[in-house]
Amino acid sequence: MKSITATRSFSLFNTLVYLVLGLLLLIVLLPCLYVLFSSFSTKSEMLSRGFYLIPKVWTLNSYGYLFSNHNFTASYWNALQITVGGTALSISATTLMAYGLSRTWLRGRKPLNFMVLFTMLFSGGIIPTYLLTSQLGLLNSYWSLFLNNAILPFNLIVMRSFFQNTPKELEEAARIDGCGEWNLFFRIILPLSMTSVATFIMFYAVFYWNSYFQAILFISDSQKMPLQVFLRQIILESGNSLESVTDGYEFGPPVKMAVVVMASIPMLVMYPFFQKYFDKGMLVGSVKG
Amino acid sequence: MAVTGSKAADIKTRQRKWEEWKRGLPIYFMILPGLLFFIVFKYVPMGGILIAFQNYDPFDGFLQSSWVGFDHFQRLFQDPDFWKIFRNTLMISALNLFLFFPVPIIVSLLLNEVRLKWFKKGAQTLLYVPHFLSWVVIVSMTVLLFSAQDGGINNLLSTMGYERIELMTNPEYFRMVYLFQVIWKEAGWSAIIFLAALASVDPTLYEAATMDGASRLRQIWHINLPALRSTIIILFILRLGHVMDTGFEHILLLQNSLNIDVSEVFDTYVYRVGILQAEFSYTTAVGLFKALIGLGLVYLANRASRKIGEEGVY
Amino acid sequence: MKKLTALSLSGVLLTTAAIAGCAGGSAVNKNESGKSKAGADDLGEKITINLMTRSYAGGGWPPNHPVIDELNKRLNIDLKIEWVPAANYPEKLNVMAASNNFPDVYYITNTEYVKWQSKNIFMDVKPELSKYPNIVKYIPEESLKHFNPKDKYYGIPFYYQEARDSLAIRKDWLDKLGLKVPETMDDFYNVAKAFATSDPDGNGKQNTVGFSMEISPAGTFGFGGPANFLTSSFGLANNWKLDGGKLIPMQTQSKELKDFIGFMRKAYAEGVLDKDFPILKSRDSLNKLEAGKSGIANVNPQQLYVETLPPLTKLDPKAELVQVLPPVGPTGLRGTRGLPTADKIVINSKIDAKKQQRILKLMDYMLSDEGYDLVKHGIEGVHYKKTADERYEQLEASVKDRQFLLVGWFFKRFDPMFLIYKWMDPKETATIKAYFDNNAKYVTKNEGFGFVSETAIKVGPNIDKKWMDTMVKVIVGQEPMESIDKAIAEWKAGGGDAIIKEINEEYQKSK
Repeated sequence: MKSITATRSFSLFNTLVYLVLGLLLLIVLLPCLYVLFSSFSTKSEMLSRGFYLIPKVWTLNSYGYLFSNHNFTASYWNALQITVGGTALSISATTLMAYGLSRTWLRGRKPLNFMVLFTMLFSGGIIPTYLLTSQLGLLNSYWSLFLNNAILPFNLIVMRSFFQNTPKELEEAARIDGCGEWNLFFRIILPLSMTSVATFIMFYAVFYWNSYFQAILFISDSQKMPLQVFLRQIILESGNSLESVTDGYEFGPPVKMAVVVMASIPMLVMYPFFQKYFDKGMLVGSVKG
Repeated sequence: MAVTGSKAADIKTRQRKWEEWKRGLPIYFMILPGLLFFIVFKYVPMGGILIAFQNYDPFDGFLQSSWVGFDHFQRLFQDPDFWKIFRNTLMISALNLFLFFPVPIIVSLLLNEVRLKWFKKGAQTLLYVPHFLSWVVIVSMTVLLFSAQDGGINNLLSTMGYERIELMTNPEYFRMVYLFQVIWKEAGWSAIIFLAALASVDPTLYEAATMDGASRLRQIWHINLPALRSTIIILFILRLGHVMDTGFEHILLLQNSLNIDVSEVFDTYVYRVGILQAEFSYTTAVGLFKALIGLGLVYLANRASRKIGEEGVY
Repeated sequence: MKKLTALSLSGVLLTTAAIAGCAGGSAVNKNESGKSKAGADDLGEKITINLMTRSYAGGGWPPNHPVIDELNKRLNIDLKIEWVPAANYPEKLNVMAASNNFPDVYYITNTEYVKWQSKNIFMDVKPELSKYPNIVKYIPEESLKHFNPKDKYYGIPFYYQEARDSLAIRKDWLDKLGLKVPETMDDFYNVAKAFATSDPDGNGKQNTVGFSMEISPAGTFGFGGPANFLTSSFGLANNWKLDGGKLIPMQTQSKELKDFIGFMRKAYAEGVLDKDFPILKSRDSLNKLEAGKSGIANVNPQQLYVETLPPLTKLDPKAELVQVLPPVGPTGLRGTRGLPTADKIVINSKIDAKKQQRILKLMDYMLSDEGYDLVKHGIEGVHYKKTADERYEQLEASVKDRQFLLVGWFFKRFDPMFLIYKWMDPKETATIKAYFDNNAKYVTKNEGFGFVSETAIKVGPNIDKKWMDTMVKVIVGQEPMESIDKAIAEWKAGGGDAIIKEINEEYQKSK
């Protein structure tokens, strides 16, 4: 009797889970499909037809335009470089510091934590940051982007709390074996924390990929601009259309959609590689078992 | 190790302290690069906050610009719209804190219950996609569906004999539209942190619970939620710190003359009055005011979290 | 692509007419003088010039662009261009100001230009201009004087077409409904009403709007959208209006406002004015025209044949647009709100005199017949070619290189046809020219233009916006007509009175 009711409630529960998620997916999926498919439509269809999924006329014009635009291809490549370089630097600095600050026995830990938090709320603003960057000779170099964003306080604080949740027993066992702090970190804690490292690699990658404002301020060589600068110029109408002089191109809605699609692809391709780290109890289980 | 119990107590504590410092040495080395970063790139420019008390002129610099004390703050507090803006900002923040915040947690718990691998992976990826669409695209799609003149859904409603919904202009709908769009765009993305936290749950706990006959709901309650507890608390406190930030681009796009009485927030106000006019001092003063409120709330929340045995953010 | 390769059909006469149009009607004989000037001066030393300007969709040129190469060669310079996205241009200028590190020559937005004049960072070009005949010739003196102290020209104006847009109407819809091109405000209303209710596109559905408009974030009745052409008919000022030797702002014209807002309110209530107008942005009302959803809109004549008509005719091959002059209002008034040039190109005062002169030479050259032809059309044989006597054909490279960017985004003659090329269909060119000629006849000037008010810089955007919010609420019927007077009073109390005082003081000083 007991096992039957268990299965029944089990399957009811399952149905509910799938139903709710399915509904969510549908709400998310439809507009995303609209973005995707409309990037293959013509300007007149997009303007006149309202919401639709399957275009009447398929065209690759928008993509053709993008790939023939020198600034698009250059900025795409720049954005990839900035993302890879910035993420590598940031994740290293963040992981080390987050681990350090997660050691509850560490002296001076509290003021350090507060110092980090404080920068999340207060900042000097763009002018002092620009002056500093300029004084350090970083203008027009990607180092200006990497160094100014080496650690995002939010990521650091959350990562620190993840490190704090790693099982203490392992650490103690390792210490009894005479393991030094660096060895402990690299040999034991880090491999155990791949989920959190993967999470914050993704966070940093997306952060760098989406950033544009600092690049506009710090980089003077237009050839070094990242993709988001190009993207924003296409999708945001300029404040006053009188000033904007376009040309015979259709910077119409389909091109906007195409550039949005192209700008999402690397981040979507990246995701599955990190997904395996979110499998339930993956690492802790394997170590203990 | 030569000195032992026979010495005075203060020597003992001093020695313990020394031991702790020594033990921490390798850890300090780990922290060092980050520490340098925070000092050089965050604290050195922080002097710029002082321009909130100046009439800052980029040509005169920080040293030569004239000091005006609290003038800019006075201007802010005396603006006839100040309380309206304050109220609107708090309302939107409240939506974010109490209605948006739980959604990613629920999404991560739901995803965690999915047993079909392909479905789980597919669902995760799809829910993450909207994060990469700009607000412009999302708002214009909403207009496409809901504009009063010929929005798709409104057309549907009117052919079925219903009234058209003035979703974009009726101030009553503004907050709802805002909230729904935020959830749509960010719920899947924000769920990642919670998914990561859930990944650290020891699977043997589930096995044990199943043997005890605990239902899936009870397992969520007794295993998953406690596993998320510290993450939830930290994220909540951090969000409190940004209680006055409401996402300027998004709101500006949704804002129009008809909903302005509920849609004007500090971020849009500062954009129009300060940033567009390059009034750096005023902009900084408003930013400082916002940050102080955030700091106050974080302080209170942090104390509360310590009371319930959590460490909090500092 | 067809258009690109289309040959001009009508031969010598029409093409020369078109070129004459581009050059502001006096291209004759200038070819030689431009050329000889550039050669005569001492260009012995190669000078590097850093130039900064705004960029829009699509971005700027790569450094090895053929037009840059050509300019480098002809003026013995090394031109380096920084293209900054327009949306963030003011921030960029301000951080540069903080580090006092400006390019040699750059575009500057009006707000910054006015604020920074006294900082001694802009070169006064007035004493030098006599050496640069093309600048004198193609930049009107009146415009050079705007926003400058007496006897100084701290910058050279960046040209906008003062009356760029024009009201256009779907001729095929008019014909179908048996209506005439509207002449008076009543005609306009009736036509718009018929467009909204009589199914002009014949699809059996009531899915067209009478007319549409946008509210600009700056608090005017749209830079696009027919409102541009309607306010003058009711006697509303184009921002500032001279009345009895005093300047008065549009925001306080109680009677005229009530007439205009009353008209719009009726149009909204009767479904003639687009129900969506409060949420429309920049070019949305033109989008509606291009989508066949509305029959009346502002068009930019220069882009009529490249942007507006192609999607429209794809949708409805019979679609035809004709120009509508601003409708005559109840008291016989009519006009188009002109938007004169406010932004400037400035030369860094800190660089050495030789470089300054070379920059002026470059700018002068860009306005000369030879130079203007280069920066506008590109290089013969690369961007276009001569196919027969006086006939031109655009080449593929022009699409890829976008050879016109310096003209579009940096510096040009005061020439409304600056994007009309010699390879375009002469018939189209003539139509566009007719649009601009008609526009020029009905410009309502902003008579307070060029005067600076401290208060306007500080509180202007905020009170203008609040004032406009009330107007919109009255139009849609959320607030009664009486709110107009309340909005005027609030505008005045919130800083408007001070603005009126300051602007009038400036005006008195200028006389």
